[in-house]
Amino acid sequence: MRKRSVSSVQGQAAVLNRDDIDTDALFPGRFLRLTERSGMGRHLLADWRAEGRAEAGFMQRAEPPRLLLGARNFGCGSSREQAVWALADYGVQAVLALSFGDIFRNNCVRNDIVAATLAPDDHAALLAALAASPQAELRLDVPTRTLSLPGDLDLPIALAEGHAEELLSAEDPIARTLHFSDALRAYEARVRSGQPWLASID
Amino acid sequence: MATLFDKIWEAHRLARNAAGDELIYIDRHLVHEVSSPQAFTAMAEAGRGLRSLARHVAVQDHNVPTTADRLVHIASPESAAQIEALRRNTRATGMRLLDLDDPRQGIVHVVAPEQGWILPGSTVACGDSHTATLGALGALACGVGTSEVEHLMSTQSLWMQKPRTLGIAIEGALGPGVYAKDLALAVIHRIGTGGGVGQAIEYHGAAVRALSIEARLTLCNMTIEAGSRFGLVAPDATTVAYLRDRVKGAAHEHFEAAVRAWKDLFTDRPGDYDRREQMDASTVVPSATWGTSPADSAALTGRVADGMRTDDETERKRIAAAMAYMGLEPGQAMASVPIDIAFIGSCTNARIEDLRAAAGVLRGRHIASGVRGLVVPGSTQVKQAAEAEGLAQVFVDAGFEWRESGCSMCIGMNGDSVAPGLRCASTSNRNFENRQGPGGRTHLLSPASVAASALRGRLTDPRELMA
Repeated sequence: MRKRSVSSVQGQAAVLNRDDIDTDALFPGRFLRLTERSGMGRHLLADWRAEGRAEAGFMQRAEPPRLLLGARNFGCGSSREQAVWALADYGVQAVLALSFGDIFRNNCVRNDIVAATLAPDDHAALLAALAASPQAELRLDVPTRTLSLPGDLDLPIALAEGHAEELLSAEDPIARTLHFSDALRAYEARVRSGQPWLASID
Repeated sequence: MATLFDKIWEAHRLARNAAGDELIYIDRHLVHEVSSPQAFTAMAEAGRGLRSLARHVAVQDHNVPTTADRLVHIASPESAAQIEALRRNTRATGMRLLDLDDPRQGIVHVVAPEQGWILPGSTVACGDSHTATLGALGALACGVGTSEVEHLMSTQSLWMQKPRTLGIAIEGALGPGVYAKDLALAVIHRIGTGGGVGQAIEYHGAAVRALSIEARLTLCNMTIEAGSRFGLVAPDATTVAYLRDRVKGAAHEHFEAAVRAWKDLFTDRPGDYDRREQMDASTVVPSATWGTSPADSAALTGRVADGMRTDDETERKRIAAAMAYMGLEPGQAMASVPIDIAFIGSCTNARIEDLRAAAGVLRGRHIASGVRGLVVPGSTQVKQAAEAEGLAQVFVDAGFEWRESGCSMCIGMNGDSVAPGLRCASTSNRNFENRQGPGGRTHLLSPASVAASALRGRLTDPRELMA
């Protein structure tokens, strides 16, 4: 996958105001048997849609919302990156929440999705604004860490350390790491001489 | 002055970037068939290969059928294709693979410690959130996504934000019939499913020291269920004794030097943790989850949603939704909840000590009519050991199905799943909605508790059946 530079996200938001939405809900386990990474959006929230859950109703809209608003501990559970591939494939470019599962949040940034947290008061303000105006167009700006709503309401958002830089960068992370080949080699030499038991899985 | 986590982290840190992320060398990468195919494809498309072949090993686990004919027949074409993809990818890269017919095959988090691959002071990653299990041996072990699997294969390192540290001191001692699984449920109940986010948890104190390595693996396994990517226990004489007979190759050859190096692997002072919690193991009782989050647990002698009365409206709604999904009433006695399926397995509780504990409850008894019992050993070696000890016969005599090893009904990818509306007493780690199959209802509990529940046909405290 080619890395993009992401500096802003603009569009409508869907609300998933429920704590502990796990990656099993976002992407049910039985679809993990697929070996591709494209086209995963069709399995996003598959069980919730099958059950006719109100939270998944946004997927019936003609246009996918660009932003999702979760609550506490969004994306907890499994490390499955398919949950994030499904969001990206469906068209989501940013997830906002009170907090995230750590692995999910990292998977987001690896796939050019902004995963930003809001303070509780701002989260409540955003919920109220979206309840009053579900079609509101939001704009999330990465460099300034700001979420702008119609009517001049600007809310501060927070990103994990390093995520803003990674989003703004267009450089492939593996290529970036390979700039550190000297440090990698130095560690390996140190292990060979000082901790030979760590050098291989025997 | 530093924590155990700090010491291992610093020893593996290669660089720090302007954004504050640190590049950490990963000594061991474990691969399985579910989270790796897209990483192998992307690596090949980028024209890259494995940086350090000897630091990777692959195991087939999530998709493998647990039926005796699995070497000749896999019912799901998708599972068969994913298993075949790992064969193809490991052949193409030269990566070692423990395939279905390998005598060491099993769940990656069960096999890796069993084979002596996980050493104190090492860093370990795997594309599976339960990699935290392996911290039981004093390693920094964490789950990663597929992009990071590719990054690891090409660079043998990961960029990570250093987590804060949470020291959970567990003093006292677990009583008879109370196991590491009950302790893990108590920890999650205490700090919540988000309680460990952004933090590495070190379990310490007298009760932790007293745990076997297998019990420590169970405790660390569910660390991710408390929101933390890393759970660990400082190495001690128990760790050294466990590893001595298992390590091979260079680790065997240099074992005494390694043991000397491991003596520095401890947290200097409790005050070095960013945050501290204290628990008393003697207050922990056999427990089970009643809801759809691993934090939703209560004593087996207690009541559904015990202690969960709250003024928080969001939480009230969440509990109501969990009750509806689980088909339970708040305040209902836990011991009144009937079960349809009893599952003993998964990377949490499918090691030999787990099977011994369950068999100890089952010996000479038969499970209730209408209950389906399923034992899926965590590895082929566990299976063989259980057969040699006569445990397999105890399970069969009690009415359990005795299966081949794999992840099985923990995630339901391999054909073993819980049908809609059925209720499963399970030793696995997740009771999320639909986790064991669409509409399936999961109660998490220890192997002894699952055995006791299977005998009575309803959730049961195993102490009631222990002489």
